Amino acid sequence: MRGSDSTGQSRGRGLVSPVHLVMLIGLFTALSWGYLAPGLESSGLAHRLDASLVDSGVESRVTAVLLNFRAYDTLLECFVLFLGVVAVWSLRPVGSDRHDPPPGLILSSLVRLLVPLMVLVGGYLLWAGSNQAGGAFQAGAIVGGAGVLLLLTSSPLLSAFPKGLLSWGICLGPFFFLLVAVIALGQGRNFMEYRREMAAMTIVALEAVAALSIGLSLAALFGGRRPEAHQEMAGQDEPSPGEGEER
Amino acid sequence: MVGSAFDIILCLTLVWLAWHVLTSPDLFKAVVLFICFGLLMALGWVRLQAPDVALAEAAIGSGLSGALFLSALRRLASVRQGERRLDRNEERDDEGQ
Repeated sequence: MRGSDSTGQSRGRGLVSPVHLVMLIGLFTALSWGYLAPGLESSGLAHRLDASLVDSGVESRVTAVLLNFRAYDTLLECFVLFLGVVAVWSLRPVGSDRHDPPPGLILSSLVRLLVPLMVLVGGYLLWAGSNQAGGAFQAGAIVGGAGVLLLLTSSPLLSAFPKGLLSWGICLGPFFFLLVAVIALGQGRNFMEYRREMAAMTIVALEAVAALSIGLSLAALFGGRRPEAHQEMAGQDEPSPGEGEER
Repeated sequence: MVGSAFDIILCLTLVWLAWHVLTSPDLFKAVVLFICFGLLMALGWVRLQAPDVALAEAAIGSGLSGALFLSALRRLASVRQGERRLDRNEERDDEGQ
């Protein structure tokens, strides 16, 4: 990563060595053989998934797997993101390091127009996730993108966002997820097994909370350090009002 | 027919882009190529009929990772030039908490 021109070039030359080329061609041949060889295709888990989709509470196969059948994976993903934010915040002192010149009129108006739209799109993706493509991570990413835009333009909207809520917002998703999982355990069901009649509602609630946390976490990662709790526009995200709308 | 021609071009472009991301001596160029790679990869996922993955790839893989890489690049540059400034206020606040 020291990244001066010379190291980059030597890196480039290293990659082109004949040994690597032979290995690449070998890998490509093996993969093509595996793909094209007869008798290797499997029907996968699609049938079993379709059979139990009714129990999941949602109509989308992807959401059913991500938030019901394999919700454990999603729980861990949320925690990975959470730990990422914790790690980034631990590395640098609290404060802000945006010394950019203030954005021009056009940019700031554009951001003012775009951010509500992005929050709306995020909300739509979240809602759409129950029966088509979309879901918490996609919605969270869009909301996070809105946060990044705000951070980049040091928008005054940022100072309106209560900084104290940021940490809570980031913690909320993973820990709410964990709470749901543990409650299921406490009521004699399996870890993360929802009650069937509550499944749809649980999934939507989980997704909404997770999307909010993911959005805040991604924007916080971009911010790079924990903002000061009061005064000064240090800078994080502001998507919570929009998140409120879509529930 | 048109579909498979498109797929082949897409695959070749992806491999070409991936190669240049890895070998580009200019880190900024590599990041921009990486963002392009992510967007085309999203197109690839759409072609594979996985719109969920395509959305995630476009938003997280390309958009946010790209933005993170760019900001990391800027910080790298300022560290390299010895321009990194630690305000005394920041240090004091850090100790205060």
